[in-house]
Amino acid sequence: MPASVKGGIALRKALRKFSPDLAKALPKEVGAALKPITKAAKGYLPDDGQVLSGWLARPNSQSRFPAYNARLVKSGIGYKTTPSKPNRRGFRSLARVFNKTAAGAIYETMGRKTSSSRFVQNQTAKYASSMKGDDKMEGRALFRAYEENNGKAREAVLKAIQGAADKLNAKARV
Amino acid sequence: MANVFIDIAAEFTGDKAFRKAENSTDKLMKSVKKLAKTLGVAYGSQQILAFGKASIKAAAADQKAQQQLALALNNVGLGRDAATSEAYIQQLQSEFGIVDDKLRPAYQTLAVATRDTAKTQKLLNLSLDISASTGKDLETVTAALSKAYLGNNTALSKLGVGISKADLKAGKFDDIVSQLSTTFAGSATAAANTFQGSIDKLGVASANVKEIIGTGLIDALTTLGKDNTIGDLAKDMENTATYLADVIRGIGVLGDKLKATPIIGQVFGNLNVGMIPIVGSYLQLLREAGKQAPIQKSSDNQHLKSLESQFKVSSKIVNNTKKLTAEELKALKAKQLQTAIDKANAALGTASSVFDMDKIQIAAALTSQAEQLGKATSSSQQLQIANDTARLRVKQDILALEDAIASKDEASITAATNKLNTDLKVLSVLTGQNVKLADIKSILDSLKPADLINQANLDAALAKIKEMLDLLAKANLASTTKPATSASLGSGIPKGDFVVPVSMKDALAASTDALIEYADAAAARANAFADLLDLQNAADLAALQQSSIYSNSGALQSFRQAESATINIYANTIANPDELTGLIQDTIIRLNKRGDYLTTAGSL
Repeated sequence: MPASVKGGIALRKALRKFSPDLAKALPKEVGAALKPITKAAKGYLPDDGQVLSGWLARPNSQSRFPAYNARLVKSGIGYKTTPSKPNRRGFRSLARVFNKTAAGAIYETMGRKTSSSRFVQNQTAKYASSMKGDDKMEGRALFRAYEENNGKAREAVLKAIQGAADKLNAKARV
Repeated sequence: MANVFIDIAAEFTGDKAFRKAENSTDKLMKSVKKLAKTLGVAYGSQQILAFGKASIKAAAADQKAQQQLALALNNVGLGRDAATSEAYIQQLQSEFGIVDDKLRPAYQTLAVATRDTAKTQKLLNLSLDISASTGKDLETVTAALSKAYLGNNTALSKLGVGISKADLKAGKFDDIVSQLSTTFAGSATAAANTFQGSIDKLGVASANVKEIIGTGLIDALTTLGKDNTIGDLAKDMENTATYLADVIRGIGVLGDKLKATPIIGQVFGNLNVGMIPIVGSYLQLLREAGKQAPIQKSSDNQHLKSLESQFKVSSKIVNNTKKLTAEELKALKAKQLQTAIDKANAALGTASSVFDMDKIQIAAALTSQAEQLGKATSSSQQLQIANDTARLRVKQDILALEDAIASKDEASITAATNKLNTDLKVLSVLTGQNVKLADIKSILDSLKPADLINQANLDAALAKIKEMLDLLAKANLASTTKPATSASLGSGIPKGDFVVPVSMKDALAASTDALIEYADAAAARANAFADLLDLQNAADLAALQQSSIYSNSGALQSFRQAESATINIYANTIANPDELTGLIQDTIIRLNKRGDYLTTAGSL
């Protein structure tokens, strides 16, 4: 569950308007807090040689199953500090880490429901980092890194937002 | 689609459903408003209310415009002609079908330029003719004529009035005006007599009707409200309009019914409300009452007449003000003289300060400091001189402030106070630096090595020891009871008593039994003496405890009381066990990798 923040978007707008320096510093600070997660998550991803050979991209392949390319999958893990569009429940994300490639997502979550499938068993036999997390937050790369981060990133993000708000308020008083 | 992400922080901005509901509500509100507008057309009372409001607004605007013109005329010295001018404008309005809202600014422009009522009216007439003939608006023409009156003919040439630039440059304004009058004579009258002119006149009449009704409404509502609060007035306006609308609607219904009646309809074919039985008589009564009521007609220009009277009063005020100004000038001159005297006194005070001993001493000290500053070689000396100088300046400032207070001059007191504060700040800064230097000096002194053999220190130490010994001796002398001895306590050991050893000769001569008996006796005696020695020690200890030495020596007493001494040695932890293990491991690894002069690399 993400931490619910009130006035985060308004704070961004106010910072841009009244304190451009702080507006630039806040995403950097948030990014610095999220980077350890993405870095660790990239480390948990297998290289091309560690995945099933049939999962790798093959020339002239007609397969629609997403091929694994370690470079692309690793570059698909990142973070975002700009507010997202509201989701179905009306929440807008202020800071987010993601694993956006299809192959990365497959590696992340494979075996959650179909642990006995041939693909999962063979890939696990060849290479697979251990799954960590609970329910929908269970995974091998990003979710694992987030789980092992023990909420440090979340605390740092909230601290950065609160700090920026305090500084802005202090400026406003002066 | 892959959708693996973690939101670290999020903000609730509202559900889509809420936004949809909001948009739907907005749309509904707009529809309701449109419906209300459509229905509003059917409501006669609303229209009448709107007309009433517009009438009141028009009447208020008309009054405001009249007052503005009157004020402008007053400012250029034509205040006495305000009523005449307004009457003239009303006349032009009805004659040429031009609304007074256009005539007043034109009249004002010309009046400001000419500052003459007759010339203004003549030029306004000419402007109307030119405007009607050329099709230019009245404002442009009057602006051009007013500029031409003041000597700038450029705007006039742009009007296209048929006069060349050379003629405009060469000719006098009066000649130009007469030429223009000839050229455009009767244009305005001719235009007014056309069909468009008639329509314009009707438009002017309609505007006047609105203003007249508005004036009447204001009077009526003010009377109805019985007080001057806007809230009551607005409420009464709405109530009256609703009531009036109902009445008008009722009259309409009544007239319609009368027309439908066969005989009456023929009699009252051309219906006049005054002719309606009973209702007509009531309306006649109302009209008479309204006529007798104190109404304010726009044509009466009552407020302008009051302005004229005000103008006369204001002339008197101006005369009085002139007199007052002359008196003020006298007062000002007297004040200036007093200021000059005060300045002279201050100068005298300055001169007397030359002989002030305090000031002389400070000046001398400052001079001396300046000389010393030239001779200073180190920064600390310079700092000291600066410090002294700052102190002298503070003293000087205090004297200056005292003088200023004595002179009771606020400006000089403020200046002296400010200078004193500034110098105090400087002094505080310098003092701070001085303290820092002193700190540094003490630190440096502490760093100096102490002398290992210092005769003075030794002498002092010996003197101290001697003093302590003297004190101890005095303490012993001061003790009234002499310290107990073994003799006094009665240990029983006779002085010089001991067993004489058996000589070799006697031992060889004596028998074995005798020797054994002698040895036994000697051992028994020795044991007895040992017991006596123990007693002696106990007695000595008791004597020591009773003596003043024992009681004066805290260390001895505590040692005695403790019976036994326990010595604890505290050694700090060398390292955390884990750290120690780690260190050892690291050392072994390092030795294995690199080796040292005892161990070759890789040998472990």
